[in-house]
Amino acid sequence: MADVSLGPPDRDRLFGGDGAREADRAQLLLVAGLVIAVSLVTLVVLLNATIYSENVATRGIESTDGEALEVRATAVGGTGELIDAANRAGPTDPEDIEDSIGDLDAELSRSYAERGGVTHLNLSSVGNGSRVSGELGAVDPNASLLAGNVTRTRGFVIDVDPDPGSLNQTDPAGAVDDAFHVDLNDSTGGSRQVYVYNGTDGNVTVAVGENGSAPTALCETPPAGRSRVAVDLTGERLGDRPCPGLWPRSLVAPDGTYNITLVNADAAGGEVTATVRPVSGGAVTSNPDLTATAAVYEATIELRYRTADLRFETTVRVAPGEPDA
Amino acid sequence: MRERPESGPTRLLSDERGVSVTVGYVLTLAIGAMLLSGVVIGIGGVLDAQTDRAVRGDLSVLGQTTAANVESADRLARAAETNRSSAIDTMNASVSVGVDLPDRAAGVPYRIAVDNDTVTVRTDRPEAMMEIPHAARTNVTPSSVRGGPIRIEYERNGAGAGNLTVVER
Repeated sequence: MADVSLGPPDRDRLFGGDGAREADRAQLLLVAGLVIAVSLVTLVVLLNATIYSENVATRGIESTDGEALEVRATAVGGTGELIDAANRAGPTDPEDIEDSIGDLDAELSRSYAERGGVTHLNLSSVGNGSRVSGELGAVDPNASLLAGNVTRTRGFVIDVDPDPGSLNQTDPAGAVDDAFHVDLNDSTGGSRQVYVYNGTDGNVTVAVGENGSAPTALCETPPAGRSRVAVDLTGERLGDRPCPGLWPRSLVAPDGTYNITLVNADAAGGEVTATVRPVSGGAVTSNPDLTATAAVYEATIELRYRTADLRFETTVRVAPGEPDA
Repeated sequence: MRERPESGPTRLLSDERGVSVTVGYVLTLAIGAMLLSGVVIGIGGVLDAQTDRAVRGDLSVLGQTTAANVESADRLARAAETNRSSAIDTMNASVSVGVDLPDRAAGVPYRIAVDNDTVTVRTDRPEAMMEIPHAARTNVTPSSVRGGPIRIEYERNGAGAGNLTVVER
């Protein structure tokens, strides 16, 4: 009988030789090994990709807009300070503003070039107005026109002397007759009064009323030994504290014009300053006891900022100290 | 006299009765094939699950990056529109933010769709989608672009409201 048995493994069957054909079975193991190896490599690559993505995700996304907004804030702030500085120095020539903005542009360009950004700042236009200032004690004690027929006001600050001998002491009920106040008379109807007085508690108090009615106290601040307390009407601040509601909403961007009048000026001591844009666009009508000089009310600037990934171009109107809309 | 048969392991090793080469081959092939199938099916399942996880993770990251940049462009657009009086409404406001996104998410091509409320990133194979809400207040023109480097643009020429638009770079 023929021998059909499978003998024990020998060298020839495993590694070739005469019985090499029988070693083909091992290819199955090779294929299996290859499949496992390829699968593992793919798995590792995938897991690495996931880990990398999650790592990147948890690093936080760098805000691309921060620097552009910084450039804008610098340009607007710098232009505002240039305008105010020029106005304080005397009658302002728009060409001086243009030259100064050219210098600011050069400074900005140099500063941001170091960080890989390109800036360009250009003065587009200038809006004329008047800067009115004066001593409260020098004006008509009954009623003095600070500015007539104006369309916009900015930087309207009254620095009052909080001393009780200078600033009348009263309460909201008596403020209409006894307290110094600013009357804002809108040509389209209605008027608004802002009263400044020493309250019965000795605090510098600001109250607002409409159409001559009894006012409502809005804010107060202790004098704290200061020789001057600033009442910033357009900035809506009393001293160093915010005082929202000081400037009427209807006069932020009015359709018509309005008059600003100082009433009972003898009930307070201190200085008043305001920059106004008359409807005429030129000189403003005001009491001769106050000093009105030609000034730049606003400027329009064109700003461009570019980096490798970002382009930002805008036209901004700069009017520092204007009430917020 | 009859020779005494061997006993123990020596006897079993040398005993080749009932052993068939054909049956041996068939058994070896069957067991090998079953093992290979098990490995392929098992690892294939793990691979699919990991691919899906990797794609979803990448889509989430890409969606968040896109949403963050849409919001950046929105902030810049609103800054570009602030303090523009009626007198200068005819002038331009222009913003462009470039974003370097990869062409593939875990090796799979994808698409980015942006509308007023969300950024949607999706792949077809495996079928995966992530919706990331964004907080942009400027109007966004609904658009869909191929995954890869993109640019978010805002243009306003003269009066009227501008829109944010996402385009391929």
